Amino acid sequence: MKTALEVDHLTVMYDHLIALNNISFSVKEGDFAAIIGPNGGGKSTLIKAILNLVPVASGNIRIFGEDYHKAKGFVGYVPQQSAFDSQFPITVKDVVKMGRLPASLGFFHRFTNEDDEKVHAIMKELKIEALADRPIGELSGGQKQKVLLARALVTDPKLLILDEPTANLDPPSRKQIYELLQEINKKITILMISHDDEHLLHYASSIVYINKKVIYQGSEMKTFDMIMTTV
Amino acid sequence: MLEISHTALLHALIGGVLGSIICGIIGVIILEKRLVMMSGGIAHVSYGGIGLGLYAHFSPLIGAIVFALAGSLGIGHFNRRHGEKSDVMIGIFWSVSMALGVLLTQLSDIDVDFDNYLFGDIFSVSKTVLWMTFILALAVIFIFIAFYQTMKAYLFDEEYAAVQGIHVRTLEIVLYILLGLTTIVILMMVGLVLTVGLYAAPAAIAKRLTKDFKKVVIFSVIFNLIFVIMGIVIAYALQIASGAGIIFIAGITYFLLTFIDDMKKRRKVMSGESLNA
Repeated sequence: MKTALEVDHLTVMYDHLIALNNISFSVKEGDFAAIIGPNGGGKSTLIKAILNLVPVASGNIRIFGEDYHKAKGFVGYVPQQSAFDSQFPITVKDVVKMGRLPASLGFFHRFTNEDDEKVHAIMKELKIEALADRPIGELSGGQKQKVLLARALVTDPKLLILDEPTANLDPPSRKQIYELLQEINKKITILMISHDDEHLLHYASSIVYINKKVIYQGSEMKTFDMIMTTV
Repeated sequence: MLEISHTALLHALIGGVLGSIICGIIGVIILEKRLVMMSGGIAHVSYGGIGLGLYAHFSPLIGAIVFALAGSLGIGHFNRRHGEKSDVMIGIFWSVSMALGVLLTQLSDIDVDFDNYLFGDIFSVSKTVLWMTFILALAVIFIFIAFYQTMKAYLFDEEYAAVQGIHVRTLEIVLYILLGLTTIVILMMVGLVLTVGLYAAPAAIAKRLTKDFKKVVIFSVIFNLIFVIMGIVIAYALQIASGAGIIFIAGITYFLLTFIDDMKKRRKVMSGESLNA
């Protein structure tokens, strides 16, 4: 089985503070990998480093054997809901379509029929096609999350990275999102961070626990529990 | 009491229409990126350039443009690096540059009417400024249409746009340059103290009326046109300076619409509650 993501001796610093200290781990293709750890332990920084959003002090990150610039077409990203302005005047369909924008300045960019068909297909798959013309600000938390998921999936990624997708959701919406991710994981490798450890560990096939450095990586829940009691 | 000629009125109307188009588009971008106070900062920073121009005997307009561009790119850089912590730095930058402008103006041997710079006078707009406004309007329209999709993605979710590989930094630099130049044009119309009002009010009103980004921009331009032309007509009729009138009409309209909107929402909630009762 291929390695979907390889993080090798990664160190990230903000000014003079170490956010991630020499961490290494890998995620296999087809995995549902859970990144967990305490607040301030570097989970969001790790995702930002993988997505090339923060500078890396040292180390390497490879996605399907390539660096980010070559691999970004393989990567889908679902940010936290707080990352965008939910009062922005835009419809659900237009948000999903944004996933199809090219990696450039998009000079006089026009969406094609193929883009429209792909957007429609993904929205149908996630059962949000009825919301297509609704403004994003009028949706519930769970519906917004599905829209962000659709935007990430519309490019057919091989690796889906999610940052706290169940934060601030009620328990039924949370369950729905996990079940949806489980279904998506049949085709796509998933890397997800969450505070919702209980649910995440139930669905995840592997765990990486970080607190500025890797404390545990594996899939054995018992070993993980034993280590956690000693941390 | 001012004496306003027909030529000055014609210049004011042409400048007002062009300025409204620019301000309507840039205002929406500023509102969505929450750069309203930053735009106020840039307007005040540009006064340093005006003072320098008067003191060193070169065009105050050139000084204002250089300071506005440096201020826009500089404040933008602080904003990106320090986020909310940049507030103090922007505030100090703003007042120091304003103080420099006042100092140099007072030290210069030119007798200056401060009110024109502080509160604006669209009737004294020169042909040079009109040409500059015309070229800027063309540039803003072209850039907005050419990069419409990526600009929308950048405004909605900057981080995701960067992950996609959209050239976010380039868009940002272009935006800051346009913001600097636009601020100078608006400064000529309503003065540096009132600039923020003309950026924010029409765009905020437009955003209350529609949930479609394209329509928000079109409405913002239309409201700008209405406020500026009404302000000019009133100022001409009463033979007074234009800036305060334009901003007063824009502000009153915003507060009135907000009040009506809130009343409607309250009535909707109350009728829902009485149905449930």
